[in-house]
This record gives sequence, C-alpha cells and structure tokens, in this order.
Amino acid sequence: MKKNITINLCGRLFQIDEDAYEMLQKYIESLRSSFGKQEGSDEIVNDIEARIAELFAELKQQGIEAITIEHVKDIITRIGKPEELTDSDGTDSEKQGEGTDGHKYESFHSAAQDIYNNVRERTAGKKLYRNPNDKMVAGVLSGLAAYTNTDPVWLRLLTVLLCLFYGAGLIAYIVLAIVVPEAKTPEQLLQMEGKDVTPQNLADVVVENKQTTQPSRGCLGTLLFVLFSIIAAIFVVIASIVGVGLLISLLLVIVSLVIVFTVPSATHLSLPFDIGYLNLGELINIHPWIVITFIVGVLLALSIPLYAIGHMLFSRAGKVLPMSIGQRILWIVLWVASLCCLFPALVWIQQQETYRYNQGMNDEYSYQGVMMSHQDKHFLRRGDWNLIKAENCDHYTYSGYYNGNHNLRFLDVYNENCEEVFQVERKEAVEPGVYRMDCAVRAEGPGPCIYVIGDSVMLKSIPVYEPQDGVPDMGWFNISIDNIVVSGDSIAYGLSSDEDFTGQTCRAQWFSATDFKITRTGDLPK
Amino acid sequence: MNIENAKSQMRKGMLEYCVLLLLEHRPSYASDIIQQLKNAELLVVEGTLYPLLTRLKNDGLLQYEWQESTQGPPRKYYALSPEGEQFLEGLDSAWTELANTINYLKNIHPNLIESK
Repeated sequence: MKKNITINLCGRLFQIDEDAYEMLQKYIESLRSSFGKQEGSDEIVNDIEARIAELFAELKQQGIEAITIEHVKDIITRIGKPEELTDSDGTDSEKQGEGTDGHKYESFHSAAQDIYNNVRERTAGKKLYRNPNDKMVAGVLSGLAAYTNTDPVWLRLLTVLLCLFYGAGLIAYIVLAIVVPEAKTPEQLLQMEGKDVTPQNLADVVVENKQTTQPSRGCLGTLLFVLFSIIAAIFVVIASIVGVGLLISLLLVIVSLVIVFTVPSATHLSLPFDIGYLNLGELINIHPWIVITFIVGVLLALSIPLYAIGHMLFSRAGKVLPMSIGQRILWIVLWVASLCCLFPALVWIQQQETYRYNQGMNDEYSYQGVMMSHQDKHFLRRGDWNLIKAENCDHYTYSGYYNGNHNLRFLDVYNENCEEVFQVERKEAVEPGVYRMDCAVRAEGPGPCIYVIGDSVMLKSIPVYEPQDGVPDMGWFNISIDNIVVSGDSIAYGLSSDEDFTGQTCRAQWFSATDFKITRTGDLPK
Repeated sequence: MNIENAKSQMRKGMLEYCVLLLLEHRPSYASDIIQQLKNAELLVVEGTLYPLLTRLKNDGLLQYEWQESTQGPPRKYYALSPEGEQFLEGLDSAWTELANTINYLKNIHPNLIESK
C-alpha cells in the first residue's frame, strides 16, 4: 500500500504515488540546477514539464489510474538525465571531449575556469551557516568548511596564522560569527551540507543529532563549555546594560529635541548631550535639511543597536527567530550610514554655532570694527566719537587720576613702544561764527595733538608731562585753541597721534584727553 | 572510440539541420518533432530537443505561437523565421557539398590513389 497524492502539472491533474512524486520533483529540480547557467533555462524546463504532462496523459488514456515510480523512471530514461541533456548541447561536450587531450597552452585560463567550476560545484545548493555540531568557538569555520567542502582543521590553522597579522583573523572571525547565523533546524543543517531537504535526509539528521548531542564532552570540553557559558552570560549582561543605556539616551534625546523645538530660547537650558547649545530651533529655519539629517541620524544611530540588542536577547530567549545574514548586513549598513550622516551634520552644526557665537561676541566687544573692552566701547558710543585710526592701542579709555574724580572716564591710549596710531573725532552742529575750544590733556611724550576743523584745520600739540615729586595731578593741562572761524554749520574736533595727520612722530607711551568744550567768542568778521 | 559514440557524434551534428528541415514547411510542436526524429532514429533521449529548440529560438532562427489543443493545454507550435529560412538554405548547400565530398571519397578507386 502506498500513499497517493494528486498533482497539478501544466493545468492537468494526475494521481501519483508519493515516492514517484518525490522522484519526479527531484528530477525537475536537478534539471533546473543543471540548466541554471544557460540562457532560457526556465523555458527549457517548463517545456520538459509540459512534455511530462503529455506523457502522463498518455498513461491515463491507457487506463492507468495512479502513476508509479516505475512510470516515472521510464519517463526519465526517455527524456534523459540532466547530464545527458546538457552534455549533448554544444559547448559543454567540446570542453569535456578535448580538455583531456590538448589545450595545455591555455592552461592559465582553463585553470582559472577549473577553480571557478570547482568552487561552484562545491558550494552548489549550499547555504552558509555556523555549524553547531562541530565547533571550537562559534562553529564559523566548520560551517565555512562545510560550505566550501574543505577540512575545518586547515581553516582553523589558517585563522590562527592570520591572527598574527594584527589580529586580522580574529576580527574576521568575530564579524563572521555575528553575521552568519547558526544552523538550528534540521533543514538548515541539510542546507549547510548541501543535501536535499527530503523526508529521509531530515530523519537522518534528527537521528544523528540525537546521537551526537548525547556523548559527554570530556574534561577540556566541559571546561571550555563552562568558560563559554560564562562568557556568553557576561556578554548578555553587558549587552543588557548597553541596551538600557541606549534606551535612556534615546529617551533623553527625544525629550531634549521636543524641548528644543517647542520652548523658545532653549539655548540657555542645560539639556542632555548639550543639545540645547546646538541651537537647532533656529538652525532648522535656515538649513532644514541638515538639521533633519542630524536628527534622523541621531535617532537611527541610537535605535538600531537598541533594536539589535533587544532582538538578540529575545532570540536567545527563543521568543523570536534570529536575523538572517541579509538582515544583519542591512542593519549594519544602515547603522554605518546613519553615523555617516550624523557626524558630518553634527560638525557642520557646531561650526555654525561657533560662528554665530563669535558673531555675537563681535557685536558685543567691537566698536566701528575695532575690538575693545565693553567700557571703551560704551564710552566712545555715548560720546559719539568717530574712530578714525586705532592701531596698536592697548586700551582707549581710562578712569581715575583726573582732578581727583576717580569715576570719570576719559580718552586714554597706551602702547609700551610708543607705536600707537590713534585718532578720534567728534562733530558738532554750530551757528557760523568764531569759536574757542578748551580741553584737558596730558601726554607721556611728544607727538599727540588735539585739533579743530572749522574753515581750516588747526592743530595743537599736547604738552609733555614732566613728573614732579609729590604732585598728584598726573600731568593734566588745560589747553585751548582760539579764533576758530566757522562759516559752515558744523565744527569737528578730536585727538590724534597719526603722523600722517599731525606731521609729528608720536613718541608718547600714553596720552589722554577729556572735557572738550566749544565756546562761541564772536561773529564772523565782516 | 567505439562505433556508438561516433554515431552519436554524427547525429548530434546533424540534429540542428534535421530540426530545421522538419519545420521548413510544417509548423510543429515539440512532441511532433520528437516523434518524427525518433522515427528517423535521430534522437536517443527526448530531453535533448528542448535546449536545442530554445537555443534556435533565442538565436532568432525559430519562432513559435501558442495554439489551442483539443486534448489538454495550449501547445507551442514552432516554425522557421525568415532568418531561419536563410540559415537553412546555407545549411542545404553545405550539406550538398558534404554529401558530394563523402560520395567522392567513397567512390575513389584504390588504384587512383596509388597512381597519384
């Protein structure tokens, strides 16, 4: 008695014995794989299937109810074994016929071809898995050996040798151990060895596994097993800790991002990872794509490893299936890509922020393009002073030592080597007439002048300070320029140590001026 | 090298020509062609024909169309394409030459060779 099934072949139904069906299926599969390289292989196999259907139909007409394995054997001999079919079609037969006799001059090409064929043949129909039945560490090399049909011992030796080159073998091993999944089911074990997944083979594997897993491991084996169990446990603990860390970081980042984009002036809040200082809230209006790239990059870079760790813990617990090689590579590529987006975007955003910060500092600490202290700036701005020249000046204003009032600021310039080039000027609107200017000045050496510009430029050198013992006036003089004729509607005056303007070389380390006062002394001469 | 092997090599060489000849005036489907070739003792295993047909079709020498059949699903009817006809003419002349050569070689009298 045999089990009988109904199959649909090219739209027609046939009753067929189960073993006959298996044989037929195997035959068609082997046809597919042997025509595999050829152009139009699907078409050829489909045509042959149609032919088989026709032959089955003939059997049916002869009154045969169920197709048996004998019928299928007949049909296979009639149509031909895969070797006979590919052999008789052109190129292949020539190679096989003549390859042995001559063509030695083509040895290189044919050798390469041979290696290629060899590898193809050895790996045909196999899948790369880690072999759980024969493993030293994770079963990578015995899986690779099964895949390439070689002895695992040589691969192990090679790997140990490769470890001597900066640990290349170790790194490659770890990568493979992560990327290549372990063959767990009987189907995967069969695919690893390139055997067909048939009920018989599956049964063999199951029986074999029962036999191989039972025997004791031996002393060293037990020691290694315990060692690996401990390492695995430590690994799980570390992975869990990293996972929790990642989860917390991810939540903090999300909260921070929400705050940054909802709370105005979040720049001044101290948020985790200094996200507040990146000033994303303003940048997104100017360069939305870079900010979005950054945010997506951060979220992916944190969540992918989190997902991977979670998945690994779940799959260890047997709750989900482990990822396939393709999935693992995909996630790794995606993660690297997210890092490649994240870091350039972060660097760019930081540059923007630094630039913006410097810009702010410039506005705060410069006056008419010259960097100076806050107090200097405010003094010059309040006094409406126009900064014409300002080179090599250590400071621009000073307070104290003026007539005893220590709180009063005045113009004051200092350079240790007398190299300061300085000129400030102020304009006042006046009626036409004759004027006099008074001011208080002092200078450490000759050169600096005060000046007035009415109808003409009038200069007056500042007298040089001569230190006298016990005199606390610090060298201040009151000087004035008289008879300033102004026929226009404004008068300009100021302080200068610029040789091009004064005609005198400045040899003063410091000089000061304050209390400029314009007094009208009379009408314009008729 | 035995005689069977040599014969099968000869058959293989001719198979393509024979298939084209069969299809010259009468479009046929694969099983027809198989039957004809078997009758002529040109085909040992049937499966050999399918890769050949597909190759000839991909080379543009054959074309096919689906035709409804009274018994079962539609069938592929193969016929010569215009290029196939040209190709066949070429093969025809090659065959004539070959046949002439063979005839000539067969009919050479041993004496004639010696005299040369």
